[in-house]
Amino acid sequence: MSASARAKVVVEDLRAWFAAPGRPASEATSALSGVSMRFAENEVTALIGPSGSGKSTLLRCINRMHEVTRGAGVGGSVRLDGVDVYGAKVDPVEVRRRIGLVFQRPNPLPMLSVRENVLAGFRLAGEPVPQAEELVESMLRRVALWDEVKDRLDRPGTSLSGGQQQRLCIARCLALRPEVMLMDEPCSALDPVATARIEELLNELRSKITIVVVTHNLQQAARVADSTAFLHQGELIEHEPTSVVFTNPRDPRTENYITGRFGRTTGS
Amino acid sequence: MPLLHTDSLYENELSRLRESVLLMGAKAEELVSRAMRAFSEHDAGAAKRLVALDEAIDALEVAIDDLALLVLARRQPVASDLRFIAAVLKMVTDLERVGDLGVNICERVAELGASPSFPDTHAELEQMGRDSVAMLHDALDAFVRGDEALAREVLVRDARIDEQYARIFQSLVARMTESAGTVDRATRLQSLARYLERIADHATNIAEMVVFMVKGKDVRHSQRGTRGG
Amino acid sequence: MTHTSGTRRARTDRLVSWAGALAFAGLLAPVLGLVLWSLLEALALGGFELRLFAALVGSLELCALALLFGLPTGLLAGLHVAELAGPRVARAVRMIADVLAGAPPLLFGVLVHSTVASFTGASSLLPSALALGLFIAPAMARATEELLSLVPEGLREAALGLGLAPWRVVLFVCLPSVRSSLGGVALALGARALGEAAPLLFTAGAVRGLGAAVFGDSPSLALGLYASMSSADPAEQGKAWAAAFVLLVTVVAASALGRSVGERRA
Ligand SMILES: Nc1ncnc2c1ncn2[C@@H]1O[C@H](COP(=O)(O)OP(=O)(O)OP(=O)(O)O)[C@@H](O)[C@H]1O
Ligand SMILES: [Mg+2]
Repeated sequence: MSASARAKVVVEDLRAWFAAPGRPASEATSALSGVSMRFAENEVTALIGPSGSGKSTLLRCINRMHEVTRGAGVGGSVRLDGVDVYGAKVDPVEVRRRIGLVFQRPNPLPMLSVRENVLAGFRLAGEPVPQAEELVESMLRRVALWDEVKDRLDRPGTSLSGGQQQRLCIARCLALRPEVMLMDEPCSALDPVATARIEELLNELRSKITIVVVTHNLQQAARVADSTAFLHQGELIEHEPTSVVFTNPRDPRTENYITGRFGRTTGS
Repeated sequence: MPLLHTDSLYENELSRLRESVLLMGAKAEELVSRAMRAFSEHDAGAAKRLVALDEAIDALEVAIDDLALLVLARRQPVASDLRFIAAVLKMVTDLERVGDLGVNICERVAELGASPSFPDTHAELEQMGRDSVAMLHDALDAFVRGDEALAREVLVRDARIDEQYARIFQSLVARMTESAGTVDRATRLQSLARYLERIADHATNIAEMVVFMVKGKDVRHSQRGTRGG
Repeated sequence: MTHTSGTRRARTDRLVSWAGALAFAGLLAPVLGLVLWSLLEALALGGFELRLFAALVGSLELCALALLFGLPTGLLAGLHVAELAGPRVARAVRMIADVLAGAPPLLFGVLVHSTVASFTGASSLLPSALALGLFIAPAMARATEELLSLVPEGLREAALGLGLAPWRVVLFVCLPSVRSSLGGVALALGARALGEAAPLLFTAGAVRGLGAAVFGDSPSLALGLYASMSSADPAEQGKAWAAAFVLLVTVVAASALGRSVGERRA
């Protein structure tokens, strides 16, 4: 995060929890406990951290998808261009349109074809898509999927392989031209070539849109991100320029995590 | 470092690397200190035999390079691990150079043979040898223990070696101007002093890498002034 | 060891599959028996006549109209409960639907007869269809809700994540994804309505007495069957058997169609 960059998204004292159906919020399990951080405009921010540390929850809170889960609750604020997305007058639908989310598990719409999946955001909203064919092709090309699927654009989106579905979902999100794109492990099912293409895409998009990417692939974070944040048990441990995090992190917990030291002490 | 790597194979590779560097350092130190003993004892034969030690050092350099590259390729180390590997790769070239300088000392000692010496310069060279070897020793010690304070102390000591070198150089120049017959011998002693000064420089480099490894801070340029080199 | 356990497993397998086949036959036999029996009885008593088809057409008309009333009402109620209502409203609506679905079908006829039918005249198509519609709606509501609750959370989230309004998500994503199952349910409900006589007792013809002319007047095959079967006249009984045969075949066909529609792409 270069100091000069404007903050596109500012998260302040963000708390998120999950309550079991029918139980009071006081018994809820906490997923985020007071996270505050800034996401610089037109930069790539990587979120890293162990499984269950709250990375997905943080993403979902930013575009108001968290509340969709039954029993889920949010506290604190998320400001997009200075406006609290949890404000009373804000329409969550509008927020989700401006802040796209690529889910951890690929989820193409099963009743739609590959082509219609790319256009889903427009079609299902009843918006006309001028030059739909061109849009489909250019989006599928950007995620390096075109050559693989150009002969089966009319097959169901779910007929693609896991890695292809993942790229289809990125294309679908990208087609809507979001201002902020949240990507939850976008390359988890991709081979090295497709991964390289997606990383190249992130590089292209950098300086055009604000990107937050959750990844378990530390090398990927090191390659693509301007800044990297380490989450641990629902807390933000540190958020620094990527070069700092991967050469000289401040917090020993970050150090232990990224160097692969977990639980074994020298004494034993 | 309070925690071990969860992957014990990785932990093994890193400790093997650490031990190899240590072994290499010990051999370089041994080479230099035995070369200096041969110098004190005017023992040309011993000096010639020491050259074999350098071959072991060279072999270790290759082995450590290989292992370090393997770890880089296999583990993509980050943070302190990355700094450790980077430090190792640099230290190894320093140690290799120390080995070469040790060999150079042996060669000069062999050439000097048992010819009469200048006792005061001789004593000063012996002192300088002990100091340089001690710096090397402490720098390696700091590496093993991750001891930043010790490493910084080594950095400071380099200035004294430089002074010793200047003094020896001056006195040898003086002798050569006194009598042309001493030139042959004096230039050899001068070379010896320069080798020792270079060894101290390499020890300084190693100490700088130790500071980088421990603190992630590059002190190579900020320390220039105190090094006076 | 492995050999003996292997043969034992094979024997168990065979046993289970035989038991399954037996149970299946046990279920199939009454249906086939009924179809055959009614066919034979109808033929023996000379029950088949052209007017039977008029009654069938009337039945289908009635059924279609009932579906027209019942399906949208049920669908909307189900949608509301599944997607939009708060938990308390949802629980209330669900309970009402359950009570209605469990109520004796006769009651719907009574209800319509005592309210709507007093305006429209006792025996017209409309109140009959209304009564059947009331019978269909709660089942449809429950089925809709049940099916929507089976829509994977991921699908809903995918659509919401694209910045779609919740009502659009329900209408254009969730519903289409259970479309074929819903179609199956609708056909099955139609088949049940086709065979249901009880709600019609008060609205269609019953009040006008059951005579030889019952097939001509009554739009319902099921009701005609009920009326004629109660008669002592063998000719009338023959008509009843013929009606039973046609009804059975139609219902079985409709159910099978519903099933196959539901299974395709489900
Ligand atoms: N639907 C849910 N209901 C209840 N608890 C949940 C739910 N989703 C997540 N949690 C809990 O919230 C915490 C944070 O989960 P989250 O999915 O954000 O982790 P994550 O960092 O994305 O992990 P991963 O790397 O495995 O994807 C975890 O403790 C998890 O158990
Ligand atoms: Mg996650």
